[in-house]
Amino acid sequence: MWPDEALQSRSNCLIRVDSQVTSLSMPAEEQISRALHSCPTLCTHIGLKGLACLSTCNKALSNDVTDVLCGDPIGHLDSSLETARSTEQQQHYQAVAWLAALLLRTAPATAADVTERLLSLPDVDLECAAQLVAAGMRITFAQLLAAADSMVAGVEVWVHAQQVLAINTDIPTVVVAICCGDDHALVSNSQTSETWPT
Amino acid sequence: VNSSACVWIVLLHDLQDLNALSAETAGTVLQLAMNCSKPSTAAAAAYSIADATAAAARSLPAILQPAVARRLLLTAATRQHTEAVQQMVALPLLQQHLDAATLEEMLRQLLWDHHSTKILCQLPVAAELSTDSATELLLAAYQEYAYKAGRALCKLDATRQLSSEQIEDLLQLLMTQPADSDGCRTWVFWQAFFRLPGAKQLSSSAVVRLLRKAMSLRRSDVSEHLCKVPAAAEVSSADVASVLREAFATPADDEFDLFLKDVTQLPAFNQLIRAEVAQLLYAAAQHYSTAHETSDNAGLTSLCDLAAAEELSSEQVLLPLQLVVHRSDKCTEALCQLPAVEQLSSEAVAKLLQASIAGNRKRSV
Repeated sequence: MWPDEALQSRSNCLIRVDSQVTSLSMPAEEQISRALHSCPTLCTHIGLKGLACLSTCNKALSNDVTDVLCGDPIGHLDSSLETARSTEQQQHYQAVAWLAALLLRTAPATAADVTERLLSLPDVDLECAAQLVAAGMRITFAQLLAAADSMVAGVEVWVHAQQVLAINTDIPTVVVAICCGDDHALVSNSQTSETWPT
Repeated sequence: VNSSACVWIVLLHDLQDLNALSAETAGTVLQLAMNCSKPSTAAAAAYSIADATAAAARSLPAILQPAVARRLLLTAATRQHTEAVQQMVALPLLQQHLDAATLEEMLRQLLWDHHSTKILCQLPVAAELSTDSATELLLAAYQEYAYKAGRALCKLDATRQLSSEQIEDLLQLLMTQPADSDGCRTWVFWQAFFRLPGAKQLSSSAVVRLLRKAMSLRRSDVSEHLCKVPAAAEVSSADVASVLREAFATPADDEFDLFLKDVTQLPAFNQLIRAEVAQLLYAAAQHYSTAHETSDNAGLTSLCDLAAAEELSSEQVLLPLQLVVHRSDKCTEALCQLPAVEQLSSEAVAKLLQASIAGNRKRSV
């Protein structure tokens, strides 16, 4: 059950490279699993998209992929962010979102670094943002204002995602309304008294 | 005023009484709105500043510190929120904080919108832009095909202060840049450009250098204006002859005919002497003997119309005739109207007729 043939051939190639530690009689999944752990350049070779595919094969491979990525979580995230920034392609943004969500779920200690990096990424779409907020990412009022001050395009999407998923934050309601560009919400907000953080 | 602006009025007014939000935070919230992707959100924030100004909100000067004001303006421009930009620059409170560096960056972001560009170029601070900034903006506008914005940039003091040498350098550079193939669109740019004092002061030698470049790059949109600058009237007939000789040595195409029309309008063209006309006629005949039938052959026909052409010897007419007789009716006809044709030997005429028949031409000598 392989996600695609190209991935299989790339993996086979790496397994051959790693043949000294791999017995040919092993099942394919086990070969990949060993290769993942013993060959550090594997991630670079099959790429984030390949790893994401691998992790969908079965529970054991998913754990292996997580182990490998959590060896240098921020390093992997930075390289995928660089790809997303330079190519501006939707699939690379999705790869970033997948990796960031994985890190948020499996390595909570990285949450602050992950959040900081994603907040500086321009034009994230609502779908990706919601995926990450669902994985535990939170944006505070101070972080939001700092990102807006740095002119990060489309930074309001995080507030929108938090609002869609009904997450409680310290962001004032009127600011949420500004970020969601929701004129109706703004009208109703203007009739209630606002409390502002000092 | 749209509904979201109401919130901003409330926000800014409330500040005076409640003082619940620090001026710094209020500034960054405005910045947040200006940075939003939705133009209406940014516009609403801009209108709220205008409303708060009109209501003389006491807190406003504290919120709109110089650095905050500049950041708001630059952010609105970077996010391409033209309505917010136009609204904000009209407010003296914000306008007073705008400096030349911010204005230049704003212009760079908004060249695609000629209306905004025009408004920004009319601000008092626009007078502080340097000639280097003006040159770079003009180049950027041209590269972005923002010709109407380029026209607005030509009204800047700094652009008007460009020397004729700077204009020549800029023209040399602009001609090498890709341009809209629709000459009507570049025309608005060149019209404003050639009205600049520096362009009017181009020397005749600069005109010749630029004409050569325009010819080699087939930029008839530029040559049209170049041939109308004051110093174009002072270009010598020797220079015109040399430009034309170079031109005839290049392959024929549509742009070429337009370029030639401009050059033949120069006063010095009518002063070409007999020897020059003889040489050019031969070069023109060589050129048109390879041209498409659709070419209007204007280069050769205008040469035949010159007073000096009447003085040509029969040999000087025979050579070009031999080149075109089997190729171009228009050229043949023009050459046959010259007085020297009547002195051709019967032998030469017979040969020409043969060639004409071989080329299946309707016109004969």
